[in-house]
Amino acid sequence: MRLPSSFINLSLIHVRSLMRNPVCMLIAVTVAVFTLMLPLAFAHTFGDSATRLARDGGLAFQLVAGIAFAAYAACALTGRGRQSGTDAMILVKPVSPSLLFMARYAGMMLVLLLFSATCALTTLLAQRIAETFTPGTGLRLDMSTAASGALCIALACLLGAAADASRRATFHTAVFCLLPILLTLAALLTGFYDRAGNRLHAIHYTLDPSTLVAALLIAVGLLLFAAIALTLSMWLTPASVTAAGFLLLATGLSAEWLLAVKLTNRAARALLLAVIPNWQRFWSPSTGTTDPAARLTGTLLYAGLYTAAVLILGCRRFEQSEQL
Amino acid sequence: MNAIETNQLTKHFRDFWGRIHVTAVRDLNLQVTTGSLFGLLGPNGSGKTTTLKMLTGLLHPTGGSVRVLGGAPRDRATRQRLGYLPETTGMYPYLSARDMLHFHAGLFGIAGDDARRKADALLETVGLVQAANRPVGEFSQGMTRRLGLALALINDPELLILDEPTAGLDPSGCRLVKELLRERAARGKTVIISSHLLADIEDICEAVCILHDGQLIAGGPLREMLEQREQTRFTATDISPEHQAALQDAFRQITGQPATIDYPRLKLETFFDQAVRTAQDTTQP
Repeated sequence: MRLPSSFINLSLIHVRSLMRNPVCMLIAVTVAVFTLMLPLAFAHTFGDSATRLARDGGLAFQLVAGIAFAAYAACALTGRGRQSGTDAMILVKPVSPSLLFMARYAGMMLVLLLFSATCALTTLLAQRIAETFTPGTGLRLDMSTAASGALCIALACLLGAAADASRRATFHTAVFCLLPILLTLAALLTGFYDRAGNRLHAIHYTLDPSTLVAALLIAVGLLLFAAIALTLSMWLTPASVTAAGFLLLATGLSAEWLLAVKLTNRAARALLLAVIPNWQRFWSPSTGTTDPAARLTGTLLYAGLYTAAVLILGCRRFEQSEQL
Repeated sequence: MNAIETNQLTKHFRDFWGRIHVTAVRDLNLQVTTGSLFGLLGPNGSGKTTTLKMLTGLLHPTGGSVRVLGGAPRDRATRQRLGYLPETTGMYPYLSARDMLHFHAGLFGIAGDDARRKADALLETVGLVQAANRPVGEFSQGMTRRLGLALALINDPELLILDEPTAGLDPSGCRLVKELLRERAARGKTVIISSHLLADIEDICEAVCILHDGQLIAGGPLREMLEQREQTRFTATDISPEHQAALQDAFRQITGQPATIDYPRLKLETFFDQAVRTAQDTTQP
């Protein structure tokens, strides 16, 4: 029973460390605000395709900001643990370095999932804001949905300030946790709201759930990247980990095309495609796929195996590392 | 039986290219008897902290071997019986002192009422009851050190390794640490202390070793090392000046040598402690 309880204790302490970090909260709030503002840029210019652009824009924000978020979180946890001596204090206890490494990853995973939930829900709302819903009067933005999204962010900040003032939680932690909760409420209310009839319709949910599946795929990709960043953070500085992350993103996005053009040997191509993280798998195009279930299963399997391999490498490295 | 045994223990630190950059510890042979209070002394950069980190398994020796409580330092069974206070006390600043103790107790599998009882007892021992629920980030250096000591004691370790335990502590804190360590040694537990404060080491340690440039240059039981057998001291209470003069005359007649008479002095620490206690007694209603 000791191992699970130590693992849970260590994971939760890393979750708290990240949530108390103002940078994590700032990234989450910024992505939420920008995603909600996307329809402003698209709706009047692109007409009917604005919904698709808002969706893809929101998902792109989730991926790019998520990579920065994961790189920062990995370096913050690893660097702080090393410099402040908290790692040394923990590792002289009957805790193996692998357990600490895995608990750190589990902590990052929970925080990244919360971040992804915030992104996914704002994308869902942005998609609704950009939708054409009164064809008779021409294109217009759904200002009530936009207002509910903006209200969620403002309310999270106000409640966060209140929690901070009453010393129940810090502002950053409260805002970070409240955002996905309030946005879920907003997405539910908006989804069940019948705009034509101007009333709540409890049976018919109108928001596009496939956006959540697409966001889930990106979240899985981010979890894979988090494992890579956590492993790299034992060698590299924060700036280098972020740079390596975007380099990996660029390589992964162009891998299929580059290898198809330049590499004729099928075995070598298959090997390289397995080694280079293939971000294309995590990007679900808004035009849809022929077999979404098979695609989802394949991607989850790919991400699971890849993440496991990276984490094993990270554990081995952390086992060999020294607390200077 | 020895709580610690090192044999030709060596540690090199290498640069990026793998070349030896510094040899922090060189061929160190050390034996620390179980139940003793052992001091590790040396100037800055002499290899004290590196040695302690190898004893706790935080650094890997480059050469030689180390046995701690009969096992390897990284063994789970060894760590279960080990307590360590590093030079820098790593804390999570947002946790309270009580939460920190519960968290570290959990790493030893101590939970529930047992963890609460131990945490409360240790907070009492290190004098942090009043600050038990304050975030550690608000603590002074001395308070952090006291809490670090409590964290090192959470599992009632058989071997306690302390790196500069009195750094940043006020005199009452230093006295508390020393009393605590004496009490542990009396219970048969082994304590190893590294410190620059020679007076503290002299006060409590039974044996010491001195490191210089990573090498052992002197070591052994403190009493034997410091005893000056060519001099003799008599101690008596309340002797008048006339009797002192008579004693000096008698001493010269018997031994043919002059004797020096003076008055013993209190240690500044004792005097300070008495003054503070008196002040506390007078200010309390």
